[in-house]
Amino acid sequence: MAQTLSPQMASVLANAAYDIRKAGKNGLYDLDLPPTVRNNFNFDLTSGPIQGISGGMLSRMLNRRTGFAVVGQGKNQYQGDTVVAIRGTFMKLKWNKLELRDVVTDLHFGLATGDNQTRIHAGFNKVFQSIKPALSEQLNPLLRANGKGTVHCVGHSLGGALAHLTADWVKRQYGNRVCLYTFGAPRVGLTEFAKKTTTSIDKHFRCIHSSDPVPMVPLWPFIHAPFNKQEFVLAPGSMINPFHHSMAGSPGYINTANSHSWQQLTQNTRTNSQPVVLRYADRYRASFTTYWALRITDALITILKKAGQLAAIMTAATIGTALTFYDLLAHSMEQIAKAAPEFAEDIKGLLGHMLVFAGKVTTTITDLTARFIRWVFDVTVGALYRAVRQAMKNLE
Amino acid sequence: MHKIFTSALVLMLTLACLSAEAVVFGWLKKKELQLSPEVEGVILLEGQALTGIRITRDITYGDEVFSDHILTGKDGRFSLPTKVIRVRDSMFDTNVRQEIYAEHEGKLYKLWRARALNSVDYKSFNQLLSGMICELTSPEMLFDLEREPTQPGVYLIATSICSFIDESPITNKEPA
Repeated sequence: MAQTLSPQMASVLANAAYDIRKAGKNGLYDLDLPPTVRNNFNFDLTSGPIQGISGGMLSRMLNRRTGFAVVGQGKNQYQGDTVVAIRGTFMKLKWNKLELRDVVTDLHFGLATGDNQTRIHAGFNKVFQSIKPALSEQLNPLLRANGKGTVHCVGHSLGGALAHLTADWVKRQYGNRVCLYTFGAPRVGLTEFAKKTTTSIDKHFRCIHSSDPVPMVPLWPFIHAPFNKQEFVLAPGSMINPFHHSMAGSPGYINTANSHSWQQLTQNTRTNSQPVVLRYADRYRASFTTYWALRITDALITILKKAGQLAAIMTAATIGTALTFYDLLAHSMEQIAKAAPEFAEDIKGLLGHMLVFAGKVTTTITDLTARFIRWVFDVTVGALYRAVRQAMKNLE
Repeated sequence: MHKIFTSALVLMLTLACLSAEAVVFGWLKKKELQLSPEVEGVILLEGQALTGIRITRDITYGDEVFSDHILTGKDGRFSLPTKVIRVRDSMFDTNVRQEIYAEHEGKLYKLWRARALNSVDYKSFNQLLSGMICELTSPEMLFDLEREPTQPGVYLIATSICSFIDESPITNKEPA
């Protein structure tokens, strides 16, 4: 029977993957797993975990490879299945830290064409390509002859993004049933990637805490998968709080996912975009919260849709970088505002809410030039990324 | 009147935003983190106390390794001091691992291994480490330990060849 991991199993695996970075003093790698996992999966770490290069040029030169993933073979209830647990972000190493900063907080995102021919975050793609050879080396003997078992891909944070790419790649490479379990994972790609992987991945459990800023980045036009399907909100909360990204903190995904059934966890069915019109007079209702981050994005998409510009902008997004994308968006908004007074009102309402969201409560909107609109984008996007970036800064 | 109301509203919103910023920025202060309690133990070989055995404690905190060692005394006893460091809170998780080894005739014996994210200062770990009886001929065992009520999802597991003076935190024991 086709199985899924319980939330508890998935979260302890995502947690244990953090320990495979380095061998113990005896030269061995160990995974401390509770009975629910160790009675159902074997992890052969005698040849070490799968290694990847998560740094830039510097780490390549120094050949600082670090353990990134472990592969387990199912037994008992999970006979024939395979699990791939991928480590999340690791911050201490200087060159790793740079990489992570680029990956999670770079508002000037770069795009790359991923293995499934859709546009994805260039940083995630780079890290994934670095672990892929070792991953296929480990998975080939297990999956070439076994197209039947399910492959469970698990990860927290950056590990979640990598697990997402892994799941999609495993499906294409081996054809097995794949399940994906992510905790606090950022968005990986644009709409086409989200749609394609929603189809290719058989079951996708995307778990978030409402106040965790990492699943909020990169911003639109990045889109979460599963596309227009449910997400699991393991902890509510309105104020954006970097601590809520933690696997083992308070609340900590490891605690909020400590359940044996997915049905017991809160599911939030959220379509990726809902029509929203924001009135300028109401702008003071906005606050630096998850709710408003989503609502502002929805309002932006609503305007573009109404003006018939959405398709053009989305196409442009797949070619450009963030820098050119926001320029283009600002110019497009200026044109839309000029086209009809109704559109101008909608845009003024949107920009007003963005400013209050970003803490610029006293700025009033007098003109709708591309230059001013671009500045509002910078302020808004900057506020959100600052929440993430500031958290990293104190590790230096 | 309307103007005053607007100014008050603006002020309130500014304060609300400031408190949001405090959530984000207000945790730059360092706090103490115990990486290991005081460790007490005795090394035995077939029931006989072993003198002059080198005991190494490696504590890995992220990328840093804090290492110290001591030789067992005449009665085979050893003790290692509490290890505390000062760290800043972070939204990113840091792997913490405690490892204690004994070296005898060129061979390494695992007296203790436990790990968790961000902190290993758990009652179950501390209790066992406070009284270890390490018979070098014993096989390595895996111990499932009592969890902390505040961290119900953090499964505490240790591996060791030792037995312990107070084994009350152990909920299950099996060959490693």
